[in-house]
Amino acid sequence: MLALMLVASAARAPAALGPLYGGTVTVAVPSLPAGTAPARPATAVERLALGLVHETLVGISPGGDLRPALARSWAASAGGAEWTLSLDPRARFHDDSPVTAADAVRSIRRFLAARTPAAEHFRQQLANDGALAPDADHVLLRFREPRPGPPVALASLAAAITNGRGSGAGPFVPTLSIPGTRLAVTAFASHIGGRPFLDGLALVAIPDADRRRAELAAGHVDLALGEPGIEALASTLVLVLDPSQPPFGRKAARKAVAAAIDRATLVEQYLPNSQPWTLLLPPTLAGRNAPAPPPRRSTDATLTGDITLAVASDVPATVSQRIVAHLDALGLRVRATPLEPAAVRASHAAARLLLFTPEVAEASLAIAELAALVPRAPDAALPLAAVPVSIGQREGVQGARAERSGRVALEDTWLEP
Amino acid sequence: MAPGLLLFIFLQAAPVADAMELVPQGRDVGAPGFVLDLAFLDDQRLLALTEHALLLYRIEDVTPALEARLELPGARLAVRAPAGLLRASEAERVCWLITNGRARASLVAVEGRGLAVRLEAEAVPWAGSATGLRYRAGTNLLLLGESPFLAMREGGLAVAPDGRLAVDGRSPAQGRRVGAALDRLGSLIVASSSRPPGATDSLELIPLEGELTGLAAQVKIDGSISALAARDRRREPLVVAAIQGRDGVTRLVSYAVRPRP
Repeated sequence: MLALMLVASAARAPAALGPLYGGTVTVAVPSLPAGTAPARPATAVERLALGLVHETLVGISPGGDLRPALARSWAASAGGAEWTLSLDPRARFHDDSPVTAADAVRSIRRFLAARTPAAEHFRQQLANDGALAPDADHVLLRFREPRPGPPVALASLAAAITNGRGSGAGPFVPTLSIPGTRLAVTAFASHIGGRPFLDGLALVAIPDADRRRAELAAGHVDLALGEPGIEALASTLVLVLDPSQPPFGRKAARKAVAAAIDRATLVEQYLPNSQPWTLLLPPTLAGRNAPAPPPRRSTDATLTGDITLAVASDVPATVSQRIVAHLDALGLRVRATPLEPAAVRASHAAARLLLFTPEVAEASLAIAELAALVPRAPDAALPLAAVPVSIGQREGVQGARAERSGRVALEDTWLEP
Repeated sequence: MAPGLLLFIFLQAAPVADAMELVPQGRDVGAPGFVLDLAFLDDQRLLALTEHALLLYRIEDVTPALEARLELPGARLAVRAPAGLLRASEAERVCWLITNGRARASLVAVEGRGLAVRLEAEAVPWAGSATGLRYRAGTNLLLLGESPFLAMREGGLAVAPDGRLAVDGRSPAQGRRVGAALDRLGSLIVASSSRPPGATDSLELIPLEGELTGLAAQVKIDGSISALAARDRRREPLVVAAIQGRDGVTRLVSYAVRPRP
């Protein structure tokens, strides 16, 4: 009897060893980017895909400090106006060529030309032709003013290092890309952080959220982006009003909109795992709670006119419908236009509804990015909710994590036997 | 019957379930780094392999005392899960070592109170294998020919990648799953548990018989066992476990193996 019990117990025992190498996983995502060239990711899935394929010179630690990546160390000279980054001699690209300073400088110039918010911030600090390769192993950065360290802007995925043939140095090598449908990658044995545990993974586009959830529940996929599980409150849902367009040129009108939106109800009914939020920086960067003010369900203000509300495609439709209802209740006739997140940022619509996830997870850079997004009146940007970047996983999947940058990292993911 | 004789019988013949106990002995000793493997060189000396160094301890009564340290040669490779293996030879006073963080295996001689690298090779020589034992590049999987294992011990003891125990190349389908730390003690296998990293671990004594499903003793560990060595020292068996605590510090803890009163 005892022997039988022991056998049964062995069969039932959690068989999780690890971390274990090997295996492949399928990740359900709402959409797939058109490509994997370095860029400022506009959505969680772009951040996921680019993070799989690319590596940067420096990264940001969970505590918010600069950490080594392809550059293993850095040192100041000229009183802090020059910083020299030493490349890790083990760093290699996917085509097995070494990562050289010339590759890094070329990539930095590409980053500056991309004119992302972080790149613009970096450009303002860098001296003219301030990125140099004095030899194959060192990158010299010359700045207009002394600095306390290398710029965190280099942690942007848009600043990822590629070689002249376009090869990246991230933890996975892209092997198959069917635009909009499937992206398959395999483990990169020479990744600077070590070979990922998984042999490979596939991102599969499943636009319908209910179907993603069902596929995960049925075990047809191993992970599903956007599902509850591993989470980081790395995004802020923001309603941006354009003060140069009526009726939002009037402070009273902006105030009326702010008072009309009931953040608590919005979160409770339409944004599971989110929090009512009144700061523009997400909780991962704000470092403190920002409880929502008590709801003010009625307002005496009445607004008139037609406006366009540009809605980012990663904002749930139920949320944008609720916002439209609030604006409608104030007397505005709202035409909601769904757009890609990057297009919403550049849109000239009177109102924009978007998820703000900073390009780089650092507060001062994020504030600069917000200033560019909301150029005039500070009260024209209404933070509504702190929204998690999340990934759900089936039982037996370990090691996935959501970083403070809003990037879902899968290089430490492994499968229980 | 004298306790020593009773224990001798237990070590020669597989004991019944829960027949034994593991009792902490002596003082815990802090290890300078994460311990990848442990191996007794003889009754008095224990070798410990970390990511960076090979350490020689003298066992004073039951407590290890550091005697020598050798920095490992060669450039370090990046790995997410560090792993290593020691194969000690008491007769030759040498040990082979290999880690997944370095490209080559090393043969190290124990000379008095010192350690010296004698040879470097592509793999650790292993009985029955023409190519020896090496790590699959970048992983914690040991390759014996083309077959991967999480851990291996001389005498045909191994842990398959799914954690299943294997003896002489045979891995029972319903066999017990264990962690990557193990050693042999007579007719017993001393192993860590198959619980996931971070959870409470346990030290297990598994009779080397049948389908390997039995459990002669089990003791809960507050931390995670990264390496084990066991030796029947003049019929006084001693198990040394490298245990990484929640504070990230690794300690060497000695256990006596006794018949349960």
